[in-house]
Amino acid sequence: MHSEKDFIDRCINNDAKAQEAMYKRYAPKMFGVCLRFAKNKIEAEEILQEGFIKIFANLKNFRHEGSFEGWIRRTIINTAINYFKKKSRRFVEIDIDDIKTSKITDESILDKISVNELLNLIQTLPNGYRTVFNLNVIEGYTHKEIGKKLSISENTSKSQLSRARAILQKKVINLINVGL
Amino acid sequence: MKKTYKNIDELFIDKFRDFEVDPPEILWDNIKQNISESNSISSNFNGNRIISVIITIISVALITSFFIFDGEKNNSVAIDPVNIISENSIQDKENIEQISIKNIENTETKEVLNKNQKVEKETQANTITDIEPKIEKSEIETKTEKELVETKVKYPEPEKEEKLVAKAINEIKEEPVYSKSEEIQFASSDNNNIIYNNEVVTSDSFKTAIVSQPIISIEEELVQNIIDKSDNNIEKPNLNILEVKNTDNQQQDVIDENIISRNRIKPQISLGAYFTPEVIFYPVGNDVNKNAYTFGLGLNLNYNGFVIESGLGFNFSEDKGDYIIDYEEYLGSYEDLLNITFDTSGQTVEPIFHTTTVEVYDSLNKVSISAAKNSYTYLQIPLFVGFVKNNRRISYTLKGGPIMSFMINKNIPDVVLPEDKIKIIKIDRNIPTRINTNWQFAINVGFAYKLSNHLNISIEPTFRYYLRSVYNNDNSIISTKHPYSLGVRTGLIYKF
Repeated sequence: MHSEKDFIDRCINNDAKAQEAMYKRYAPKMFGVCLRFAKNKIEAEEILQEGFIKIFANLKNFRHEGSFEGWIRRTIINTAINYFKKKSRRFVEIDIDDIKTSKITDESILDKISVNELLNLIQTLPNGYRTVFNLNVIEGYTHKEIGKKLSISENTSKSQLSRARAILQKKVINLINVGL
Repeated sequence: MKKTYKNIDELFIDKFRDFEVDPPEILWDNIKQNISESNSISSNFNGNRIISVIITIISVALITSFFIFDGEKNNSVAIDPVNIISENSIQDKENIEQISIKNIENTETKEVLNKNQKVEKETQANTITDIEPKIEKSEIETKTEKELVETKVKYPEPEKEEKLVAKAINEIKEEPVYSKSEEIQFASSDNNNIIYNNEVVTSDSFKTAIVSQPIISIEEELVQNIIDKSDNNIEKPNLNILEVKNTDNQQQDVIDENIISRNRIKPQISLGAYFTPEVIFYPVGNDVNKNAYTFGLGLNLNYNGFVIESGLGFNFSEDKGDYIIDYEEYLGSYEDLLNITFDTSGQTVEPIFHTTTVEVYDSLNKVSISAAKNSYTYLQIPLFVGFVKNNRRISYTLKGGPIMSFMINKNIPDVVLPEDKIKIIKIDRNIPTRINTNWQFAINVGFAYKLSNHLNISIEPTFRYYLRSVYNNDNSIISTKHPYSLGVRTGLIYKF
């Protein structure tokens, strides 16, 4: 049985079968990541495609010091961040009214919400909010790390996260009230 | 079993923990195609890069060796023919003077010369028109002269060349040396017949030969003559014009060397006006590449293939970023009643309301993100050294050196507010600020085309490496990176 290093070496040496095997092994999970960072499926596909091209181009730089999947995931996330950095330089105004009034009264009902519904909620967030929420809550990045990655201050990251949470909370409650 | 979530974070973390979705099949086809294309480009690029590096190294080596070993030949192009002629004349005069001085010092030679003249008059010899001496001539010469001629004619016994050379040198020391003035004198006084090397020759041939022939060449000819005799070839010095011309060429080379050495130390000064558009690359992502433009004046000093350049330049750069404004929207105002007083001075009691205007803002925050652009102007002082190679109308240059940049002006516009009347909670400026002074190292490789004797145009592709980031050490990651830039320096150069 081939080790992960041999597998990666074959990919570096442009072994087409190894490359396809690697893609099929990691693409579904990474596509899930892309869908969370993207506004829609088309954007997620673009990020995934761009991300895997970068992965194959930079495989020789992988030092085998950590998890290979973690390295792929970081590459995909960085690709997503750069993708939205290019699109973020335009005037955006966000109205976040009556956030403070929303409260979840019954936590157990949340389990009935499907992952696809949650995905739709995340995708409705503005780019900055969605990115900060994904990085902090799901990927576990600190606000300092997020600030460096997005070239924003730590406080901006925090405030965007709190707003993202508030918006999602409100939308989750609306979802519960309407659908459940 | 139902799960319970304490907060919304847990809900999302749990639901997305193992979230997987199969991507469309076409994505892999696109990726595969892109990988194969990039591999072929990469392999071609590697090959081209190796070839480029080799060509560059060879070119640099050739240019360098050309300047080191062949610099003198290059400078000969600049020699003024008029100067050569005048130098040649001066050199000829010096030779003639040298001959004359030698004649004056050699009194014995003069005596011999007088003897020759007397002998010629006494014997009333026939005029010899051929420059080649004849053996019969020895009959009409004096005893001393006979000995000399016999020494030259006989050589039945082979001698070593070294001895012959030494003997010839001794002979030439004893033989008379004629100056131009003496030769002219003989021609006028003796029916155009004169004696040279103890032989009577026609003055016309002799005049041509002796006018510009230095003593050394006569010695050499005699030595060669003796060597030829060792091979049983009895010949007199061959004073033909071609050999004189060859001697002139040797003199010419000496003169050229002198003139070249004088020209070599003369530096060439030129003044250029340059425009350099460039793209600055930051190694943190494609979206932070910047454009910059530089207008400058440069003073070039070209010294024997080496060039040194300095000057002043004005660099214009821009940064783009975002302002994020947290604010509360203005809804309106009302009059807040502070107190009421009553005026009882009149017949009726009049209430007076003391109020203050209170502005009302929406308690819900709003966020505004707007694009921002900062402009900077730098004064740049470069100092380049390098090589220049002139090739008719085109000259090639390789220059490099440091550039110092001082910020002399910056334009950081105020934040654009989304509405006129808002209550600002916080403003985040996602645009880095710049430092006042920075250093770069630049390398220019280019060529200049000669439009006229004084005017050239030049194009120089430029690589510039920033020795530190141009940004302040704030929370921006690019403040820790060393950017580099690629540009094209175009210029109009006036040569003085």
